[in-house]
Order: sequence, then structure tokens, then C-alpha cells
Amino acid sequence: MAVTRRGIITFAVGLLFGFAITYMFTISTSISTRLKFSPRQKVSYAGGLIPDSPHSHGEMDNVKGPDQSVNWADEHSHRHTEQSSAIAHELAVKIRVLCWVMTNPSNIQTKAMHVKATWGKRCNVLLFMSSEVDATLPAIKLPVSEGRNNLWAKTKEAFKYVYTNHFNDADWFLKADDDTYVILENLRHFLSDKDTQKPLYYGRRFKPYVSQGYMSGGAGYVLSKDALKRFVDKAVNDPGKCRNDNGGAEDLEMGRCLEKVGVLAEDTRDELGRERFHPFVPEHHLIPGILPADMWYWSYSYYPAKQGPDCCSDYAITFHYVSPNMMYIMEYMIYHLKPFGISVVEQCPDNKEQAQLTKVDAEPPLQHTKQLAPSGQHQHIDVKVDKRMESKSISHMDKNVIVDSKNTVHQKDSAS
Amino acid sequence: MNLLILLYVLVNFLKPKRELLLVLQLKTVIVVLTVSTMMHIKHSQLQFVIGLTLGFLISVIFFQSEVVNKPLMRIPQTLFNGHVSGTSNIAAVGQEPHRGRINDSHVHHDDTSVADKLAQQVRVLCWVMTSPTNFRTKADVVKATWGRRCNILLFFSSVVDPRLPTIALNVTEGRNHLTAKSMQAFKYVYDHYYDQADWFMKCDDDTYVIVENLRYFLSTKNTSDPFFYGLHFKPIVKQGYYSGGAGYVLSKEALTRFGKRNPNTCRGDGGSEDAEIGKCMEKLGIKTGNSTDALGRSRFHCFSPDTHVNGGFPKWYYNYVKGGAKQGIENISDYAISFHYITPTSMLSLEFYVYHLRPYGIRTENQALN
Repeated sequence: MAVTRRGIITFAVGLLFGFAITYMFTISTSISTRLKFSPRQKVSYAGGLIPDSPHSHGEMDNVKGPDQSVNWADEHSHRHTEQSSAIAHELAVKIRVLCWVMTNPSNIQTKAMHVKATWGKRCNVLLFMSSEVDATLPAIKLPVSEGRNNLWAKTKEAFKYVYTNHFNDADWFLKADDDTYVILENLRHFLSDKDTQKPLYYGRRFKPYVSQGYMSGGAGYVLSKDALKRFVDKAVNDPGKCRNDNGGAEDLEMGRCLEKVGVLAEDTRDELGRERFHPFVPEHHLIPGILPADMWYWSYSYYPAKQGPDCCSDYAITFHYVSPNMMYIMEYMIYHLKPFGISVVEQCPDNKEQAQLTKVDAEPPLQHTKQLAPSGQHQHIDVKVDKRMESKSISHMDKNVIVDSKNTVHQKDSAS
Repeated sequence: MNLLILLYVLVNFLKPKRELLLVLQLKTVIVVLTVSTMMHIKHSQLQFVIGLTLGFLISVIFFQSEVVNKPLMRIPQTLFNGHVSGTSNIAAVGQEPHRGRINDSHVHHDDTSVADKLAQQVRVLCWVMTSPTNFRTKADVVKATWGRRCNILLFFSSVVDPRLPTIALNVTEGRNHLTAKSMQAFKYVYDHYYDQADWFMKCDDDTYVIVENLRYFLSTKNTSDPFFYGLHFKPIVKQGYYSGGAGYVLSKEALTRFGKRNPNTCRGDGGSEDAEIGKCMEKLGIKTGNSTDALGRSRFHCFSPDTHVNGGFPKWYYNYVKGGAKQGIENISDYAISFHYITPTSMLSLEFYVYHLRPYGIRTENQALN
């Protein structure tokens, strides 16, 4: 082949064409690949743990759960003694939480029902706020129209309703969506050292628009008694303080309002800096890379948003965009499935020692010390166990260690 | 012309992993070139065609590595190091898969003494069936999550992988040779690890096992009895057999009889791995046993928690599973042992659910469920 100038041009044109065609082809397929965050199993019945977790309400609209709510009356099948939930029960009496769940007529059967069947029943008072009455759930009719543009109106009316009808029935007032999953025990634990007579407001803190930040609506937020009072008495009907039309993002408007009447938005992270309120499902926070790098979420987070193991507190309180099916899975995971032989010992928030142990990369030394004598409710056991297990042998199974019949760990050398 | 044929032959030998698409495209390119040369197309047209296909090739190589085939299942380095990460960047897998776990053991003041005691008394060897395409995507995650809780953890495949590491068996990869893999793996385990564990479990690289619950279940069994346990399927074998994906576990006696068997007793390859092992066990006098808990709830599961909690079993399952297909929380044991079809990301979230997330004030007591 003679290499003519014309030949080179034709070649170059062909090259460009080939490049362009493939570019268009791959870009169009990459968009669809990026949207998939967990690989779909080929078999139709293998849904994986998270079948499909949405990132927006538009995606949530068509997500359905079981046709009927599923109620497991299996407390009797838990062979627990009475003491096992004593602390949780005690807290439930001391720290009364009213939960109002934002829902709408079309979600009553598909979503709200499953909230009630799962975590909703753990609230001291549970209310479903809608634009229509529902006798069976039940749901309250607020004087608002439906639609995403009326969420702020709904929020205002809901809090007004709660203040008028239930102010004395609870100590704290939680707002959640019908796709929020709440672990009430952990909420009460978090609130146990907070003063409801102070103007306080807790949730997942977002940075923009409001100088002290505001709390994500979907991740759920909770108002103290004083905060609720200030909101309804002083803010909600004052156009200088609260936006008086129906539009706007309800969580943002709430944040603006509350700031204007001196309610404080606080930090809800645990001693290790792990968040308790979450705007997505656990997997999306735990697995780096699932939430796209260019997502709004990163710039909205008041504190640096974490991915991976540091994302979520052991005592996490909420997750969002939880489908009804996922709620039942979480019920099973949180309240039923357990590893045998691992007894949870509650971490006390005021234990200063814990703060010093927060070096994430440090390998803790291998030590077995005597169990502290139990005194009072909390048992702080000074056992630092090296969880690093070689594949062939359990390295921390020190041969000098004895586990006696009371499951107390001793060392052979110690004089005991 | 000859050059093209040579190229074609070379490409056939390339077969880089997961790049089948690329190989196909290379082949089509070469075919196009060959055909066009043969057809004596005008020079200018030929040059255009060559340019076109070359441009296609180059851009495919470029874009494929960037976008299309980037598996979202590769576990990024950040997860392994437990570092905080502000932005998402799907990087290559961490160098030390050992450390891929939620590293907050220094703040967990959990009392693991009973579980630790059981780990001494009921030693479990877990062997995981895997394949080269799954080493970095699935097997690594197994090792980083539940695998490390086994007393001994082994990976079996057709080739050696120094990182996991894997033991290479004399098998061809593929679903038609899983029986050979299982047969050889158990033989290997018998030959090399017989006295280092009490129970011997097989599972897949998409099985998630809660090892503490496995030990609890086995703690009341005698490893010198000729038994093996798993998710019981009724058909094919008279006494039934166990689902391979849900994992099944052999007693020492079972392993011994298997290891000492006459080589003609059991099928060497072909068929369904779990069914063939099941037939083998029956021939050797190893019996199936019940693994439901004291309340009749299942412990071994061949599907994901979603399917078992919410339903969606395939039709065949209803005919296979002993005791009938049941869905819902009330039918799953609190001390469930295994789930199957677990994606690597789901394994990480299962770690979080089982070992970290907890409701405050509800003390987890050790229930008597055997």
C-alpha cells in the first residue's frame, strides 16, 4: 500500500470515527453501570441483603413491601429471662418518645403499615401524619394537601398537632419518614443524659443555608420539650421566623425556624466520632464508593462524612431510604440474630477510658485481666482481647488462660 | 495477510481474565481486516477501515479499563485500613486482606468468654470453594469477615493464589467439576488436617457463616459419631443430602470414613457437588441429622436473609427442603448459622449487623436453643 497523504487522512478519519463510536457506546453503558450499586444476582430469587436501595424519594415511590404487615408475636420464643431487657424497659418508662411519621394516603398500606409492624411499636406514642384519615392504621388527617411541595406545611401542622394534643405524653418528639428505620433503644440511650427542658434539637447535621446547620428530615430528628414549645408558640405562626407558605424543604425550613427561636442544633456523634443518624441504609455508609464522589451528600455534611467502618455507631439510631422489606430484615438482624456466646456489655458514655482507646490502627495488646466486681447496672470489664486471628490458630487463646464456670477469665500465674 | 492470521492465533491464547469482551472485539477487528484485504478493496477505503477498527480497538482498551468492566465489588483500600475516607474512590484491593474488618475491638467491652471457650472446645475447619475470578472479589472478603473466626480457614481452587492463600487441586475450573473439587478438597483436609480440628465444614465464597452459632450447634454433638449436618434436601439421595451453598459440616468420623474409602465408592466428578457428596456419605454409612433449633427454626440457609425473611423462594425449593419452605423471622433461628448468595458488600454489612449494631439495654443472653 502506498502511503499517500490522502491515505493518511482517510486513516485518521477512520481512527477518529472508531474512537467516537466506542466512546458513545461505553458512556451510555457506563451510566447504567454506575447506577447499580450492588451487583444484581443473575438468579431472580437471590436478592442479596439489600435488593435495591434508593437514594431519592423518586426511587422510593414504587418500592413495596409485603401485602400484609407481618407481625411476629414471638416474644415467647425468645428464651430470655426478665432481666434481659430490663435496662431498655426502664429507659422506655423514663424517657418517653413520641414518634410522628410523615406519610400519605398512597403509602398507608405499602409503607406506613410496615413501620408500625416493625420499629414503630417501640415508640411510647406513635402517630402517622397524612392528608386523609385512615381508621385502621390509624392516620391523622392534617389540614394540608398532598405532595412533595406541601411537606413543610405538613411538618408545621404535625408539630402543632403534637403540641396541642400530646405535649404531656412524651419527653422528646421525633419526626421520621415512612422509609426511616429507628432503633428506639439507642435513641433513648442517647437522650438519657440530655435535658428536655433546654431548647435542643438532634439529628444528622447538614451544613448549608443555616449557620448552625439543620437536621436531615429523612434521617429523622428529635426536638426537646422546650424546642417544641418554642417552635409552636413563638415561631411557626410568625412569618418573620418561619416561612409561612407551604413550599420549601421541610428539614431546611425547620432548621431556619428553630435557629430563629434559639433552639440549638447539636452534635450527635458517639465518642469515636461515628454518626448515629443516617440519611441512607447501612450498606451505603459502610461500603466506600457506593455513594458517588460528586454527590451532594459530601458537601452537605456538617462534620466530615465517613465511609467504611467508621461511618456508623454501634448504637446507631436511624437509617433512611429503608424499603419495607429491608425493615423486616433489620428487625431480624437487630433484635433476633445473635452470635452465641458474645454477651454485649454496654459502653457507658461517660467512661473516659474509652476515649483513650480510640486509635483505630493500633493493635491492642493481648491481655487478660480479672473481671471487675459488678457494682450497679454497668459492668465494665477490663478485658482487652486481641481479635486478630491467624488463619491456622487462634493466637489469643493463651494457654495460661482459664475460663471458670462463671465465665470469668483468669490467668494461671495470677495468685487466685 | 499471514500476519493477520498469526495475530488471530495469538489473540486466542491471550484470554486475560474478565476481558472476554476485549478478546472478542480483537477477534472481530482482525476478521474485518482479513476480509477486507481478501476482497481487494480500494486502498483508500482499506485505510479508512483499518483506521476505524484501530480507533475502535484503542478506545475499547481505554474505556473498558476505566468504566465498563470496573467491578463495583472490588473492596477499596480504605475499608481494609479502617481509615476515614471523605470521597469515594474505587481503588485497588488492599495489600493486607487480613485487616479488612471493623476495627473497634478496643471499645467493645463485650464479654466473649463463652464464645472463646467454645472456640477451644469445638474446633472448626472451614474450607471455602473458590475460583480465580473470585479470589480478589469474593474470597478476600470471606477471609476479611467471617472466615477469620474459623479455627482453620482454607481456600480451595484449581490454581494457587499466594495471597489468600489457596490450595490448588487437580481440577478444571467450572460448574461441571465442582464434585471433583469437593471430593479432592475433603481428601486433602483428611490427609493434612485430620487431627487439627473437630469438625470440617465446606462452603462457597458467597456463603456467610456465623461461626459462633456453628460451634454452639455442634457443641452438643459427638464428632466421633458418623454424622454430617447442613440444610436438608429431600430428593436424589434416600436419606437426603445437604445444600452446598448453605454449607455443610462433617464430623471427624465422617471425614475419616471419607478419607479411607475405597476410591470407587463415590463419583469422582460430574453431577451436582452437594448431591454427589450426599450419595457418598450415604454409601459410607454417614447419616444426616436435624439442624433446626429447639423451636423448629432453620439454622442453615441457602438464600439471603431477604429471601428467608420476606419470601421469594424459587419453585424448586418448595419440593426440596425438608420440613417445607418457610419464610419469616419466626422461622429463622436466632442462632442462624449460614446464609447464601451473599455479595461481598452484603458480607460487610452482615458483619456490621451481627457483631456491631445493637439495641442499647437489651442484654444478649445465651439462649438454650439446642
